[in-house]
Parts: sequence; structure tokens; C-alpha cells
Amino acid sequence: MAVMEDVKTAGDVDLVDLMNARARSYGMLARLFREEVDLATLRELQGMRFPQATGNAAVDEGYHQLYDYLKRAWDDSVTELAVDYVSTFIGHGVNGYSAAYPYESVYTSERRLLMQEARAEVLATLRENELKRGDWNEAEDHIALELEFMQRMALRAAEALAEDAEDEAVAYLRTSYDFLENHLINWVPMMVTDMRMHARTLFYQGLGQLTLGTIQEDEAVLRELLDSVEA
Amino acid sequence: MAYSAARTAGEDTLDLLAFDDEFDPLAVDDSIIDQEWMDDENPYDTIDYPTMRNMPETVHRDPVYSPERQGSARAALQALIVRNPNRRPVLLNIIGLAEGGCASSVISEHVEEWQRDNWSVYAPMTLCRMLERAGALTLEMPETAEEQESAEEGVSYLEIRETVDPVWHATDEALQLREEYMSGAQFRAIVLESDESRYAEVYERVMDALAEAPRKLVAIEELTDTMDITKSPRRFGQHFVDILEATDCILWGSGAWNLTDLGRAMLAELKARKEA
Repeated sequence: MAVMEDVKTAGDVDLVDLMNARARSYGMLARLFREEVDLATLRELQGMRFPQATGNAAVDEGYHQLYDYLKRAWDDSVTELAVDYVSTFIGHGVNGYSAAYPYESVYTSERRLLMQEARAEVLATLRENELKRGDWNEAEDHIALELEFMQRMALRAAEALAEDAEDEAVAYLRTSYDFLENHLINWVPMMVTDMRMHARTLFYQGLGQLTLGTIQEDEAVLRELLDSVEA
Repeated sequence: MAYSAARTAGEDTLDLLAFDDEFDPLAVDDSIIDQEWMDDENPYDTIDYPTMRNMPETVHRDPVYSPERQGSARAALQALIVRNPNRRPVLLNIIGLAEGGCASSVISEHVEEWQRDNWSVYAPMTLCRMLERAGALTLEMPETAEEQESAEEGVSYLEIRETVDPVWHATDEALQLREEYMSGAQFRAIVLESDESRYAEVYERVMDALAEAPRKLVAIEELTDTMDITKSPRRFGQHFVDILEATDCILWGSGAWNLTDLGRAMLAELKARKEA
């Protein structure tokens, strides 16, 4: 596809690198939502560099909050983060409003229930893309799994681009964009609002903002790429 | 409607979604929901209990093993040690390590090693926090380094070049109590100065054997079972292991019972008393 040749190095950006960078971002976010931070992960995060001015206010705020927390973090922070993970994502109540529940169904069903249409939808998407749940034993519309889906699509797109399989790469970008539009963008902003209310550490406050900003930015990037292909 | 149906690929699956046009998730604000207002017609009638976030202060509980509750730091630490017998050696070792100050990373490293054969759900810093609440340790937080910036290809980054490593200090009360535990007072009281002293010969033989090499319970029982005094009333090897462990003379490690430094000192005292 001739158009893709232009896209592949559009704006002096190597698309394979871009896809791999997207995959890394989604992979990191998925990990942080999937389970509590352990010491090895904390040390890895402390070794990261945090961009200061990305052009997206939510991303910048998220990075700055994470940095502020991590620069003071030490061994005991693992326990503090584990406690905050529970406060933020599990909570203590049974009313459906006691935490920032990390499931799409909660935010897209009338009575804030788990395992609703969104879960069936995500499960169908996973099957369409030949992805199995592996050892995942929670609902498929968990934010960690949705972010990991985006990671997988980015990796597949990078692989396809590296092999000059442009049509395949565009299909993965289209799948990613649709999933982002129809799922993550649709409910994550509401969950992040709840995270602001329930998270007690700057870490999870920052994670919420970073996630929100990342999917906003990614939506713009994917739209631009697809527009250039389809133009 | 918050959800906008996709009009591109995946349309068939997305058609499964059938949201009520009247439903707006953003309209739900539990902070203004009043329990009195609840009725069958309320679509958000799902609140059965007050939300926890509104009452963290009222449900807050003071620590059990604290000087405030137990009367003094000494009493709190004593209670903490007595109620956590399996953690006693580790708790006392942490106090010893923190004499004069010890970095958290160093304590963590040691505690991981001490707990390798005595697994605990408590992380090293959790144990330190327990001791801190009991008044046995104090925490010295270092100054946080200023923001470190770097730039690459026109993008500026924040970096963490130096991580904090707070220092724990043992209090005088804790060091004093540890000294009492490590002086063998427990062993003397139980093994040398109570009815248990009639088994002094058994203790001596077991400790002698362990001084030679670490042994498992089976080997210890083979030793104690051959002695007449353990036959009536029947005393199994486990009894002597329990007492020696409770008095910090032996410690489980690398799959066998090991004689501790205190155990060696008490063995010498046991022999000296026998000769006297």
C-alpha cells in the first residue's frame, strides 16, 4: 500500500518505534491496574524518566504526581500502595459507590453491576482477535485487560509494519481505534473521577490522570494515522 | 446517552449493546443521595450502608500494642513479643540491628534472610512499623532530594537519581528489654530453676548434639527416647525442642534445628551448674 509507505515514516516518526512505545505505555498501565505494586515494580518505576511537558495536561499531571510519590517512596511504600489499591479499586461498601471499580460494566450499566453487556462485548472482541484469557480469572472488562488488549494490538501492528504487511497493520490500528472509542474512552474518564475521590496516595491519583491522558492522546494519534491512510 | 455506538468495524458485536437512552451514568452522584429519599421508584436505590469513605475517622482503631494502651513502651513491646512468639527472634534481632540506627534497606535484607526458614506474612517494614507503634523503634526520614531534571532531544524529564532510605533507631526501653531476653533469664527460670530442672541432663544432651551439628526432630527424639527419665511420665523430643525454642536457645534454619549463640552460652552454664 503506497499510502502506508508515507505513513510508516510520517512526520519523521518511525511507526514501528511508535507502536512499540504505545505497547510499552499500555503494558505499564495494565500492570499497575492488574495488581498491587511489589518492590521490584516500585524500583523499576523509580528508575523511569518522567516527561515534563507532553502537551496533554492529564498526562503531565499524572507523571508529576507519580514522580512526587515515587521520589519519596521506600520499602514501606509497598504496603502503603497495597492498602491504597484496596481502598481505590475494591473499597469497603456494597453500594456500588465505595470505590473506583475497575470494570467497564459498572460504569455502563444502570445499576452499576459487574458482568453486564460490556463484559460480553470485550469477550467477543478478545475472541475475534484470537486472544485467550490465560490465567485471568476476573471479568474481561477489567481495565487491566482492556489496556493489555491495546498493548497486544500495538505489538501486532509493530510486527506487521516491520514485515511490511501494511494492510494487516492498518487493520490492527483500526481495531485499536474502535476498541478505544467504544470501550476505554467511553468509561475510563468516569473511573478516573472516582479514583480522584477514593485514592489516598499521589501514586493512584497520578495513575488515574496518566491513564486518562494516555488514552486521549492515543485516540488522537490513531485517528491521525487512520485519516492519513484513508485520505 | 454516554455511549456512542461504533459505526465501523465490529458493528455486529456492538449491536449487542442496548443502553437505555434515559440512563446517564454521570448523573449519579452518591454524595447527594439521601437514605430517606430512597423508595422503590428510585433507580439508584442500591445504597444499604453509609459509604466507608465518609467515616474513616469514626471507625479508626488505635493499635493494640502501643504505650498508650499498654501503659509503657516496655509493656507494649513485651505484649507484642509474647503474642507473636514465632516472630520473637526476628523482632529482637531488628531491635539489635537498629541500635545506633540502621537503614531500612539493610533491615529488610536481614529480615528476609531471618525469615527465609520461618516464613511470615509480615514484610520487614511491617515488623518495623509494629515495633514503632510499640515504642521500640523510631523512624528518621531523610531529606528528599530536589527535583532532578534532564533533557534529551529537546524533551525535559524528571528523574529520581537518589531514592530515600529512612533510618530506624531502637529506643532505650527496647534495647533494655532485648538485653534481658538475650541474657538467658528465660532459660534459667524454666530449665534451671523450676521443676523442669530434673530434665537438665536431657537438655544437656540435646544441646550438646546440636552444638555438634544441626539436627532434625527425628534425630533429637532418637536421642531423648533412649533416656529413662523421659519414659515415665512420657516426654517426647518435641517437648524439649519447644522449651529450647521458647527460650531462644535453638532456631529452625536450613531444614534443621540450630543451637544459637545464647544456646551455647546456656549449655556452658548448664554444665557449670552440674559440676558445681
